[in-house]
Order: sequence, then C-alpha cells, then structure tokens
Amino acid sequence: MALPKRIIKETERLMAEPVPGISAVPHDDNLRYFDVTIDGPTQSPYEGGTFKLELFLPDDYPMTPPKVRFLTKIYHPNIDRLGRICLDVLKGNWSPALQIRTILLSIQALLGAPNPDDPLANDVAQQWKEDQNTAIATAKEWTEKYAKA
Amino acid sequence: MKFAQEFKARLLQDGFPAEWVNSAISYGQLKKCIKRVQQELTTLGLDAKTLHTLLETVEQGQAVKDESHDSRNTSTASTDTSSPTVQDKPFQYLFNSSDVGGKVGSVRPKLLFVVDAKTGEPLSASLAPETRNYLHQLAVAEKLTAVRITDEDQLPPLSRSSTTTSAEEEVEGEDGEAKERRSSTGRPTKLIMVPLTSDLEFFSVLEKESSGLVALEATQRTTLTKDIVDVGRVLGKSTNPDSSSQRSDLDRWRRIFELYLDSRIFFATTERDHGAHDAAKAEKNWLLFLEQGQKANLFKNFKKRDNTKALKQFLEINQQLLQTLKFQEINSKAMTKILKKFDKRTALNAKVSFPTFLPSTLIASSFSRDLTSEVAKHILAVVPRLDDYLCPICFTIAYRPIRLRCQHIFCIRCLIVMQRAGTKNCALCREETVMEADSSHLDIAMQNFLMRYFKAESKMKQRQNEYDLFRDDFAAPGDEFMQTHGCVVM
Repeated sequence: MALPKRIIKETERLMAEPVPGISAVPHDDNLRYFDVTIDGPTQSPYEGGTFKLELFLPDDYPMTPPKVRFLTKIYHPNIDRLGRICLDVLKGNWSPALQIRTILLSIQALLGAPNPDDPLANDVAQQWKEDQNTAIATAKEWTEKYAKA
Repeated sequence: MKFAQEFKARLLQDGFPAEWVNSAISYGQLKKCIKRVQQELTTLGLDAKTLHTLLETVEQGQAVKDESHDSRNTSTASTDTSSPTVQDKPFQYLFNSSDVGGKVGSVRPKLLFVVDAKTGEPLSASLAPETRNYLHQLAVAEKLTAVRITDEDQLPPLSRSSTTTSAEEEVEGEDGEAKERRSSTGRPTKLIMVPLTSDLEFFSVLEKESSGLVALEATQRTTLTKDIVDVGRVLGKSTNPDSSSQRSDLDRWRRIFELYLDSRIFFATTERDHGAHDAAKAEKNWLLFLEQGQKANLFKNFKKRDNTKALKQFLEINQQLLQTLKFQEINSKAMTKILKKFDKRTALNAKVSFPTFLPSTLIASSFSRDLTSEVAKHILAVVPRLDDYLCPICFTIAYRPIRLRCQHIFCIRCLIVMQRAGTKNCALCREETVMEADSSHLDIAMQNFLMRYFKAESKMKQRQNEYDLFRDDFAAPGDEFMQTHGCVVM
C-alpha cells in the first residue's frame, strides 16, 4: 500500500527540522517503523542519558495513535519493564491532529515530570511515593548504566 | 582600537548611504572626549583607580557590617540593609533629565559626592588630601556649612577614619531624613555636585546621535512601510486567479514566497532556531534565497509587466531591511563599546544608568521584526499559501472544507472517516462536534475560495475523495456481498 501523504510530510519535516534532543529515523524497508532517540531532560534524573525507542505507525494512523515503546531500560513510574508507556495521548486522548513530533515531545516531558499517581510500573511508583530521593537515585543509576553509550 | 577601525571600515564598505554614515555614532570623537573626561578627573584626584578603590572599600565595609549585624540582631540588619548601596556609596553618578519633554540635550550627567552635612567634609577617607580639600571647598561654596576651610584638615579625627572602620560603628538612625541623608555611621550627610564639563559633552554627543539614529530609523520605517503597502496593492491587482493569463504569474509569486518563507531570512520559527536573526545570519539566508530563486528561474518571465516591477520593488525592500538591520547592529555595538570604554577609563559606571534614557527602539531591534510582519500582512497574504489551507489530519488541501461548530475545518474525507470510527471529539479542540456535522456544515465560501486559488489541488483532492469513498462503499462490503450471495464467477 502506498504511504499516505501525511506520513511522507511528517517524515520530511522530522528530517528537515528535527526537534532538539529528539531524533526519529524511518527504516528503509518499512517507512512506518521509526528508530527514535530521546535525550533525558535537563534537571531530571535522566539528564545526560540517551534513550532508544521504537515507533510504529499502524495502517489506520492517524486515526489511531502510533505505537511507541522504550528499548532502553528506564526507571520511571509510568514506563514498565517492557518499555510500554502510560501516557494519555497514546491511548484514549489521542487525536488525529497530533503527530509523531508532538507525541515524542510528550514522552520527553513525561521523563521530566514522572506521575506516580497514575502508575504503570507499580513497584517503581510505590518506591517513588514512599521514598522519592531513593527512587530518583535509582533512576540516575539506571540512566548511568543503560542510557549512556 | 581594533573596534574603531572595524567600525569605520564597515561604515564605508557596507554601502550605506552618505546620510546614514553621517548620523552614525562618532566613535573617534567620543573616544577623544573620554580622554578629556579622564584628564579632568585626574586633575581632581579622582582618576579611575582612586574611584575603584573607593567603591571596593565600601563594598568590603558593607560585608563586614552585614556580618556584625547578623551576629547581634537580625531584625535591625534587615531594616538597615534595605538600601545600603544608595546610602553608603561614597559617590554617585546619575543622569538627570532636566527637561520632561525629553528633547535633545536634556540628559545631564551628575557626579555627586557624599559629604558630612555639618562640616562639609567628604566622608571617604582614601582620597588624596588635595581632593578632599577640593570637595570640601565645593561644599562650602554651596553653603552647606559655615565652617571655613583652614587647618581643619588635621583636626577632626573622626571623619578621617576610613569607611571600613566607621562602618563597624553601631547604626543609630534608620529613619533617614528627607533632606539630610544618614550614612551607615549615623552621621547626617549631604550630596554635593562635582562640576565636570567634558562628560556633559560626551553624553550630549551620544544622546544627540542616538536620537538622530532613532529619527533615521523612524523615517526608514515609514518609507519602507509605504513601499510594502504599495507592492501589496500592485500584487492584489495583477494576480487575479480568474484570469488565465495572470494565473501563471500567481503561481510564480506563490513559488517565490514559498521559497522566501522557507529561507527564514529575518527570523525563524522552528524549534531549533527561533526568533529574530542577527544581520550576519539574515544576510547569509538572503543571499541563499536569491541564489535559489535565480537557479529555479523564479525571478524572470512574469507575464505582466506590473509583476516584474513589483518583484523588483519587493527585493529592494528586503535589501533595505537588511541594510538597516546591519546599520543598527553596528551602531548599537559602537554605543555599548564606547560606554564600556568610558566606564573603564573613569570608573563612573555609566553603562548601567545611561541607556535608560535612550528610546527603546535603538536597543531592542524590533525594526526587522515589525517590518517583516508588515511584509507578511500586506504582500505575502495577497498570494494564499497552500500550507494555510491543509486539513490537519491528512495534510492535503482541506477540500471539500467542512467547518464544525467549533469552527475547525477538516476535509470531508477525514470527517467521514472520523464519523465512521465513532470519534466524537474535534481533533483540534476535543469539543464534541464531529457527529453532528452534515452537509450543512460545508463551508461554501471557503470551497469557492479554494477552487479559485488552488484549482489543480482541489480538483485532484476531489478525485481522490471520490475514489476513497467508492472503495469504502463498494470494495470492502462488496467482498461480503459476493460471499453472502455466492455470486462467484466460475
């Protein structure tokens, strides 16, 4: 099936005007599959880390949201061990006017503002609530260990 | 030294009109002026080094005082340190505007020294005896005190003590009286003015020149704005989409403006690079625009002569904008540099207080921003851009345009897809307006506009819409149809 104009345009713009701290490159053999990296936001426990993600645009995109998953291990209350992300705009709050770049920006923002009250990784969220300092220290440790090449 | 030469060279080489060059900041003259101020101050024993030392002594004294207060009583410390800089500075360099109207020549620099209100003795002890004497005489001349200056120089031991030690004394009066200020020692003090002549000259020249620059900018702004409106008017007339001969000119303009906007000459709006550009970057992008335009043969072969003329004018306007930006930039740099030099040579710290008297236009370069927005409003808007009329979902032209109750426009195809998927909320504002849309929500005026200005794109989109609809209605259910009815070609 031919690639919709929308996806072509989004890809072009992602290449021509990349978002600072974010890169998304489509696979040559499947233009709906993107290799993504997101830099950890400054002043967050993920600062200095570069996180790898995969992003896939389903057939009915943009009527349904892209599928995004972390490939790099990350200690975060809204991201589980398999890298799945709990983010409203990736689920019920998706709108077809949102784009790859806006979604990746939301994910970057989620790294800067963890939300333990709406957890995906229960153990992490609990740790985050009970002893935030230790949780942040662990997040930093994981960043050091897994997110630095 | 280096900047003086660079400034001079750029004024000559950048092709500015003679009138502009004449109203540029006269850097060389001002530099000589600084020298005279420096000489004047040195004769009074108030050279840069002495003034520096004075300031430093006070700062140290201030620190000591703060510490001692903290250890004793925090409450008095908080009230006392509220405005230590004004109270304890041994001298102040201020700019008074004698004329409220703010005319040229209204800025008067004043060098004020703190003296004892009763004796007229200067409070700063690290000054040379002659300087103290001089200041005292000034105070006497201003009838601050009846005390004659005779041999008192050796007499009062209190006022000879350095500010550092005196600052350590307990503060008595926190309620500074209106006329008589109190120093940190609690003694009533007054300010006397040290008359200087060459600094007045320096700042008068600087002020006159900066208001000259502002005037020049204002003229340039008016002329360019008028030109911009003119070009826009011509463009409006000579790019009628209903006339087939002009339609190709319209397309040409559209391509020129697309390139112009993509070149991001004077400012950019992307995440990585946003805001106004400086002259160097603007020039680089401008030259790139010209080069690409020439390569794509955009600047030639207009059908109507009016359009050829308008293009020439459009390019000229941008050239002028760039020149003005360059001129402004170098002058404001010269201004900063000369003030910095003044402060370095005199330690009077004028850089901080002086520019507040300048009209803000010279400091913030709103010029290029304002005028590019005029260009966008009057010229670029005449030729509609496809990018402004895309459906936010499929990124192709929003034809046929359906305007929801929330005023957001989508192409009819995407609306149908949303309705079939049961998406209730508008993709842009999330209001529940999708399901209620029907044929009455077709924006006829917009549809006509799109057909007029983007005929080819609209027609192509229409064909695609019809094809998609056909596929929806027949292809997929058709498969079912064939299965249920068993109508199979054998």
